[in-house]
Amino acid sequence: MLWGSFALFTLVLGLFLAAVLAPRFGRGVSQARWIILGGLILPVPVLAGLTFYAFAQGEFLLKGAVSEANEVLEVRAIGRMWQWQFSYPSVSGGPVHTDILHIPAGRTIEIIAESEDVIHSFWVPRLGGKIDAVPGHSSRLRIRADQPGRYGGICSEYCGTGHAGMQFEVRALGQDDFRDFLTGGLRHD
Amino acid sequence: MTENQTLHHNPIALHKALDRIWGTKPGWGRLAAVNHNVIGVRFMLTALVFFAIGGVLAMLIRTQLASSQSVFMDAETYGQVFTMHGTIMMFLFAIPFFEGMAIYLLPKLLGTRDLAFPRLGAYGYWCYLFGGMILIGALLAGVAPNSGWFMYTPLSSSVYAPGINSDVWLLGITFVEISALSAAVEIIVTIMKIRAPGMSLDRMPIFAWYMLVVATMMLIGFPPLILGSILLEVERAFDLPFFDPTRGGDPLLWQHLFWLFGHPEVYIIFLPAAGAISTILPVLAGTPLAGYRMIVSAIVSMAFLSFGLWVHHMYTVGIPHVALSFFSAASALVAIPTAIQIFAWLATLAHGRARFSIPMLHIFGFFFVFVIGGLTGVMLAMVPFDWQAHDTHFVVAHLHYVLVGGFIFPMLATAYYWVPHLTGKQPVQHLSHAAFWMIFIGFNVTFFFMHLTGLRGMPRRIFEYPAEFGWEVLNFVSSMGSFVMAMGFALVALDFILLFKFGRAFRRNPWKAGTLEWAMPTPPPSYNFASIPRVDNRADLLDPDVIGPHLAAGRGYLGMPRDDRMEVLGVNSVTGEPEQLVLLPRQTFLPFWTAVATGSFFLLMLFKFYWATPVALAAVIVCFCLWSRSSPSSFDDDAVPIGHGETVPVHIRAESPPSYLAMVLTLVADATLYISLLFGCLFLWISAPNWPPANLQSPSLWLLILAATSMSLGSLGSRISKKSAHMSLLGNGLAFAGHLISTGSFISIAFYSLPSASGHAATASLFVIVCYISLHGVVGSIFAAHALWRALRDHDMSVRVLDLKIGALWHDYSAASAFAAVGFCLLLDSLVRDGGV
Amino acid sequence: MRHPLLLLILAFVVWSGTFLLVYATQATGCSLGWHNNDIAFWRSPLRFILIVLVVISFVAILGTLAWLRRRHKPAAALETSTFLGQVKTYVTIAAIFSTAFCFAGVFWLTLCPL
Ligand code: HEM
Ligand SMILES: [Cu+2]
Ligand SMILES: [Cu+2]
Repeated sequence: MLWGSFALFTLVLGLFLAAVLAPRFGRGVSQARWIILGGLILPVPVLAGLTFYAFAQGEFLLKGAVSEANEVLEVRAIGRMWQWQFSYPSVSGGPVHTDILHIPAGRTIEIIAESEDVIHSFWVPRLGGKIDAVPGHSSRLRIRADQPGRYGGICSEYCGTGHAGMQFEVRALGQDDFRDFLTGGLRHD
Repeated sequence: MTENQTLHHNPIALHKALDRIWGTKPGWGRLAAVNHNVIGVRFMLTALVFFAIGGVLAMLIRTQLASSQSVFMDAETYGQVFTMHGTIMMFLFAIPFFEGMAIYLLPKLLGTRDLAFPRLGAYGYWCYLFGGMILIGALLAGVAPNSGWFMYTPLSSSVYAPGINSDVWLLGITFVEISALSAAVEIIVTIMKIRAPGMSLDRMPIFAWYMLVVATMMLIGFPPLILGSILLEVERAFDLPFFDPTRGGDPLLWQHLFWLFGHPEVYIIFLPAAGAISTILPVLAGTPLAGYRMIVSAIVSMAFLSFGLWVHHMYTVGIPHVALSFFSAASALVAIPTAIQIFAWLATLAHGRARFSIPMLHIFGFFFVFVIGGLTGVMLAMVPFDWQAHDTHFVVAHLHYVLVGGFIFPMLATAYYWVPHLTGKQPVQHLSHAAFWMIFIGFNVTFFFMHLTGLRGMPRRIFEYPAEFGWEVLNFVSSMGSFVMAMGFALVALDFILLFKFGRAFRRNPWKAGTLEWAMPTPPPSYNFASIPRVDNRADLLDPDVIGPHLAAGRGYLGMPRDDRMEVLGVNSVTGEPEQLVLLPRQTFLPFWTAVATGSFFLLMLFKFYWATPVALAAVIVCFCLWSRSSPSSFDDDAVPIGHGETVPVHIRAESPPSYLAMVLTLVADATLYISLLFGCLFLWISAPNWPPANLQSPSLWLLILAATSMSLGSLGSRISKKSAHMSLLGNGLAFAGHLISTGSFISIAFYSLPSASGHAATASLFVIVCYISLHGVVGSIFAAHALWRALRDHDMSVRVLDLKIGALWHDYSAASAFAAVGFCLLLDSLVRDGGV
Repeated sequence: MRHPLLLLILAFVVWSGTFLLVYATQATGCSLGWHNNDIAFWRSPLRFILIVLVVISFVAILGTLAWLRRRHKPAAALETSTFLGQVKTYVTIAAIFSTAFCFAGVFWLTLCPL
């Protein structure tokens, strides 16, 4: 996308400069042809290709790269001014943490975003995707961390004076560590 | 040339006679100005003041963000500053500025003397000024709006924003939007009806096509925003829970209403600028504009498509993918008409011989910046990419590339091109180059790097960020760039001051343009043209050097001032053949006082003196009733000579007078608001939590039927009243009674049959719908009463037919919307009962 | 509907109507759960309804083009009416293309929230 944009930009600007600076440039091409070539033939295929590629990509992300629903682990993320609370609805009596989200690496997670006050938005830049937590709704997003590690997250919908500080951390754990975590075995450091 | 105009073949005498009629009086008389030259310039200057204020706020933002843990502003101040920056730039600068430009230029390009409704323009200006002052006052008092320029609720609701900050936005902006709607009506009617004879649709200057499209978009685009603001203000003031999820409301309703306006808004800002480029660029290239028809088709398509992509601002709220795909595809499609325009301009340049000049330099800036903005826009339209970049500084960079590229650079080009027209002086041009390069380089340094900041994960609207995130260097560079840009703007200002002081005078038409605005003396006289031209070619391929002296000598149409009247010609909207003589109202203080009354209503609302608001509303209504009284009242019976041996009737007796069209357009905007309201309520039924309501006893069917049928008496009455003078009394009496009964029954439904409106969004919706209809009943009864009064005073039917026709439109619309309301009540009732979700 | 400018935008008005209708049907269908009770020959009745709607609108908008072509009679001077005729054709074609392009997603994309 970046290189494509760069190419288009150079093309349009190049044509502009050539048309202004070189008196004879482009005169051989009729005006109607200029418009049809540049205004239809050029953008239509590019846009169509891009749009349909994006549809396919969107479907893929939406499903979080899994086919079976039972492979995903649900996490409830409740936003409130100005922190996030994470819990695991499928694990009864499971842990509840504030501003730290533990997930297993290599498994698809379904975030169920809800809000108790105003609109917040759950976003972990390096794991992709974001989802708004709108009061009265619970909206879902699938993410996945392939490697264990720590990923920074930040609220990305303006939610008042504490917005800038509404950060959290995602800790992706190995399978065993995560099992320990769910049973309360993992200590915080 | 007929009878009495031989008097004034002397241009000087003609000028004196016309200027006495059209000119604005000095001193306090300035408040009575209605002339489009004066109003247009006022709009533009006021908008520039707001631009400066918004620019200062931008500098504050950049100062704050230059370093990571800046202590310059706290979070609350920062919230007010970025909200006001966005709000001012969008609502108080961009829109009013191009409105002013259109008000100033359109009559000149169309070859006529003024706009169709000069008083409406003046009223719009005062509303804009007063509304803007409310916002600036709040900024100075430290209680400015602080929930972002799109005011997402619940952050802006009374629970999370208890102060008056949000009220300032909702009321102030709605007040300002009155000016946008009135400008839209005025611009459409002017372009359709008030042109030079012979200017058929295919001969209109391209700028008029652009403004026709833009004004129509405004007419459809603003009502949803106004509706949203009213609903949110009603929620804040009277606790009707439209957006409160605990009581069946939904914050997403606000987002839909806002963006249904908000996205077209971007095109509403861009298209006038594109229209200016389509006008200027061919002149500078010395060749006619390529692809006139393609461009007209492209902008019409663009207008529609731009209403089909609002949800691309809401990709992350959890709307299903298939629905997103409609909006995503439309967002991609809208790039095509843009590409067509860009290549039409390139084709024009290629076939001409470009003269390098300051406007051309800014057009280069436009191409460079806008193309980048367009490309990042297509990226953002792609759902997966947006899921990543949404609400980051990437979006901030994108929107500034589009707005500065698509509006500021074209407007700078426009300014350098037309300021000589406005002042009659040519620029000195010492600073112009340096100023351009400073703005251009400063802009790109500021915002190009902001793309990267965003991709590295910096959300927008944060007032501080941890140093270890690695955003600091990029932010510092952006801030430095923005200071360079600010200095560039200061240089531009200085450049224009120098022009006013030292510019050289010139004869006609310095750019060798082919449009009519140069066929007049500069600076332009209040009446533009001493006589009105006949156009026999496309209106950007004319020769002002020949036409100008010809018109100045009074050899065109209406080259004879008579009876101190302000006269222009009304034409057939398609063929451009003269159909009527439109008499414009003279200078008056009424628009000013009406705006003061309107403003007092908004201030009373703002300071919560709700009990006093009916008084203010009554004052507004009284003022508007006075408008009709001071309309021109001595009417010639038959056709009047307009020169060249032709005669036409005066507008009140014409087939389709401007005010009739204006009423149709007003109702279109009104209906858009109403339809948005109905759809909004259905949306709540589908989407909001806590539905169905526990107790929705719907009002009694008989009362509903009584209310709607009595409203239709208005329609019936207005049909009868057109028959004869006696029937007129009867018909209007019937209409008057019908409206009163209907209003009474709707009000009793609202206050007595419905359960408390603050209990649930469903009842709140019905309550608002019923109030809307009652309001129409009240206005309808005023129309009917006015018609009765005129029928009693004055027995000449032919001067009243126009009023009756306009009233009939209102009566018909009220009746239709009353039946729709009843239908809606029943529908909602059955949905809630059976289709309960 | 006689003013030439109204005829000019007719096709896009149809497009706008389709847009509202399809979007509203999709939202209503999801909230009433029409997407997941199988019917005999289609995986989801909602998808079926949406496809039918889109196809009908597409035919309607093609019909608009045909109708506009047939009733094309000069309303004004020759130049003006050829101009209007040509712009009308361009705009109508744009509307047809937009209809095909905007609603293609109904054939396979995810219908309702997860
Ligand atoms: C003069 C140079 C300008 C600079 C340096 C500037 C800078 C900025 C910055 C840094 C932000 C982001 C604030 C944040 O998210 O924390 C911003 C937001 C914004 N700017 Fe500008 N801006 C400029 C001109 C304009 C113009 C000309 C317009 C419109 C015509 C505009 C419209 C907006 C809007 C709508 C926002 C969003 C406000 C919000 O988030 O509520 N800006 N600007
Ligand atoms: Cu937040
Ligand atoms: Cu948009």
